[in-house]
Order: sequence, then C-alpha cells, then structure tokens
Amino acid sequence: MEKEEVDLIKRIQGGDNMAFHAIMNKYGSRVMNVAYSFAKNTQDAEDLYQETFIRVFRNIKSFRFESEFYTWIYRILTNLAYNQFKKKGRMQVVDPGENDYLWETIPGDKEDEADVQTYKSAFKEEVDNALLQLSSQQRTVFILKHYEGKKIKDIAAILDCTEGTIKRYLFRATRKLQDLLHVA
Amino acid sequence: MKHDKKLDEMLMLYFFNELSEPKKKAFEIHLKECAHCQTELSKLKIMNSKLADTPDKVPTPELIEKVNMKIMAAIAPEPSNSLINKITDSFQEFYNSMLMAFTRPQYQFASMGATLIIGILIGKIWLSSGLQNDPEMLISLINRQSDLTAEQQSKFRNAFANYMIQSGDVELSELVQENPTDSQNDNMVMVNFKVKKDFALKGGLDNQAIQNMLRFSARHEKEPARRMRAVKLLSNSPQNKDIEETLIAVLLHDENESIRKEAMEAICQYNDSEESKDALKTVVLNDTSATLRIQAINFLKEIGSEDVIPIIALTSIRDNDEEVKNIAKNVLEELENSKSKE
Repeated sequence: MEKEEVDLIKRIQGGDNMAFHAIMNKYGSRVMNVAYSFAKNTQDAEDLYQETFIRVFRNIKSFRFESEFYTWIYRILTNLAYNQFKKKGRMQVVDPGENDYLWETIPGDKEDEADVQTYKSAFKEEVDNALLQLSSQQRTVFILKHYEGKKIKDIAAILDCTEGTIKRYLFRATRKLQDLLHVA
Repeated sequence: MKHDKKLDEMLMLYFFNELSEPKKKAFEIHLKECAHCQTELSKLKIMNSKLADTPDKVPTPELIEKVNMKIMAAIAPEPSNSLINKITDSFQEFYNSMLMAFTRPQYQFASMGATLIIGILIGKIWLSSGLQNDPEMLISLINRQSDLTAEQQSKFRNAFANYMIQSGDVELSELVQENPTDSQNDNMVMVNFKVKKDFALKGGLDNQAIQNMLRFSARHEKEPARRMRAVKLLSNSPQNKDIEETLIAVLLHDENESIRKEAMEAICQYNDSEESKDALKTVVLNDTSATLRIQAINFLKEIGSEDVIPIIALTSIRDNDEEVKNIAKNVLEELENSKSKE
C-alpha cells in the first residue's frame, strides 16, 4: 500500500473527515462502476455507493492494513449488495434517478449504425431484466464472476461461503440466463 | 470419451476458466470428441457475447463529486449538546429566544444556558468591576466554534444582523459587491456594519456564563489590559477545573510577563492540583523571565513535595541566570535539610 494512502487512512482513523473525502475521490469511479454492475440502475447504484462509503467510514477503525484498502471497500460493497438484494428478493426495475443526466452511456461500438445501436440498447434491457430475475445469491455470484472476473475461491472468501456453494449458484445462474436469453 | 453428467460441471469450469492446466488439457481432449459438450460450449459463448455486447453506463466525475458531498454531509460529526448547535434544528425558536434575551432586563439569561449566552453576548459587557468587551468578540467567538458549520455560522451572523437592524442602532461601514463581473454572482453582496448599541450583562463571578466570558477574554483578547483584568477576576472566582485550565494556559502561553505573573499567583491558590504543580515546574524550566522563574521556585518550595527536587536541582545547574541558579541552590539545600530532618 502506498505511504500516501496509509497516511490518509490513519488520518481518517484519527477523525479527519477531509481525508475521507480524498479517499472517496480516489476510489469513487471504481466503486460506482461496481455498484452499477450490481444494481443495474443509476438510482440503486448511487444508494449502494453511498451506503458502502458510509459503512467504510464507520468501520474504518477496524481496518488493520492487512489487505489492500480497495479490497476492503470492495468486500463491504459486495456484501452490502448481496444482503440488499437478499432483503429485496427480486430487484425491481425503477424509473431513472434524479442524477441520471450525470451518467454517460457507453455505446457498444461507435461504428454501429443507429438502428444497430437501438437494437443493442433494447438488448441491454433484456439482459438487465434477465439478471434481475436471478436470486440474490445467483446474481451476486454471477456478476462477480462474469463482470468482475473473480476466481471462484475469491468469491467464496468475499461472501464467506464454500467454493461448492459458489459453484452451485454460478451454474444455476448460468443455466437460468441461457434460458432467459433464449440460448438454451 | 463418452459424455456423462459430471462433465457438465467440468464444462462450466472450463468456460469460466477455472480448471487447472492438467484438467483443462484433459477436458480439451474430451471436447474434441464430444458433440454435446461442443454444442453446450457454443451456447455459453453466445450467452457471453450477449452479456458483453450491451451498452452500459459510467458515472461522470460530476456525479461522483455530488454523491461524495452527500456522504460528507452524512458523516459530519453529530451536533454536540451545546445550545449553539441547536440553531440548525430550531433556528426560529433560537432567533426568537435571542430577541427576548436582548430585550429583557438583566438576569434573564440564566434559562438559556451558558453556551448560548457566550454566543449571543454581543457588544459591551459590564461586570460590577467594569470589564468591557466589544462586538468583535462575538464574531471571534463564532469563528472559534469549530463545531459550527459554515452554514450555521452564516445563520448565526444573519440572526445577529437582523437583530441589530431591528434595534436601529447600527452603522453601515462598508458595502461590497463580490465579483461584479461574474454574471452568476451578481446578487452577492457583503455588508460590514458597526454596532453602536451596547449590551449589558450583570452577574456574580459564580455565574458560569460570566466565567466563560472571562476565560475567553483572558486567552484571546488582543488588549493586554483586558486580558489582565480577566485574569484578576478569574483569580477571584470560585475555584474550578475550567478556570484552572485557563489560568495555566495563560501562564504558559501569554506573551505578557505581568499577565503570566498574575496567572501564576492565581494558580498557587490551587494547592492540591497536580496540573498546577506541573505548570509551575514548566515555568521554572522554560519561562523567559528570571523573575517569574524565581517566583515559581519559591512556590514550589512551599509545596515542598519530593518530585519538585529534581526540577530545582536541574535549575541550580542549568539556568542561564546566576541569581536564579543561586536561589535554586539555596532552596534545594533547604528542601534537602527539611527532608533529612524528617
């Protein structure tokens, strides 16, 4: 870990809130991107992001510098997402949030014709809807594997489960998605 | 190799790149011969392409900053119990009570609590001894309240200004338009005003609000005469820890020797206090004034406990003033003699 980061964390642990602002500026984009990949809508992503950093702040005194700081934040975010999804059961598709204009949409391929773009945009909705129909466990595990590229043993460590459990969720999620996306 | 159900799991693990190298090679051999696995793998790849090929959203830096500001507000320290901080929650109530406090006769402040009183005691303050302060003191007080947010400070100033304008006894001294060329900020003006009206508070030295004001005055007044008067009044106040702390701070930090001397004499009334004794030791070792060092040595001699001996011994060797050294030597002998008699 960089000395500068260690200093920042120690300052936060000592009660310096401005140092926390610096930490949020450093990891904000990464954390928001991951939050969005879990939430699949901007409003929930922002909520998840806020809740993650508030928990990071509240628990920062328990951070012992035994892992990378981002890994620690990531773990809080993932568990929060996992539990939030668990609480809500199936995630609901919500209306665009008030800050939607502050998000940029990345087209799949800039060379695509307009009608192809429209097709892809419609397809994204289909994919998001399919993801939203997975159980919380299946969805979290699948996102961690597919979008985040985590190894099964790492996912098991993050979510405090056995590798066997993670494999079961991953396989079921994959089968279900194949079905929902009509590739079975 | 014939396909069986166990190979479904291998296929998934292969697809997700989770097989060890030997298992991967073994599975690839099977894959070449198994039509079922080939079909399933191609389906997985199609699913993968669908998932990967969708447009997505990314946050802009403006969004991150906006949400970060919300978080900073959420993690801001909880308001303390001080009444000043309650202005955020019930500002109108605060404002009304402030108006009442100013318009009522004396002795009506007690119900409002000491901290609030400090904040709103604006203008000149008369004690029976005639201590006077000016309105700058309030602004200084507000600025020194680190618990107040900028917004709270702004509200506080507004309330003060509103009251002063209602009282009709203010004088506008400066009117500044900030950034007149900036079209977005053309409504921003800054008004400086002088307060001519005096406010009075009477109370005994046992009144905590009075004590707090004196403590502030003793530490932060620019005029040495005012600091001196505050220290003298504090030395006549009923003893308590807060006053002792202030006197020690004056003794150790005030730049004026006479004020430090006054504070030291006041501190010597706190006979049983370890903090006061430590402060005297610090004076003996560090004060720039030889007179004060000698006086502190004499005070320590009166205390006479064993732990002062090393300090005086050190002074008798190290002090750069011969007179101080000699006095320290004499005191040291006296202390050692009285110790041997015991």
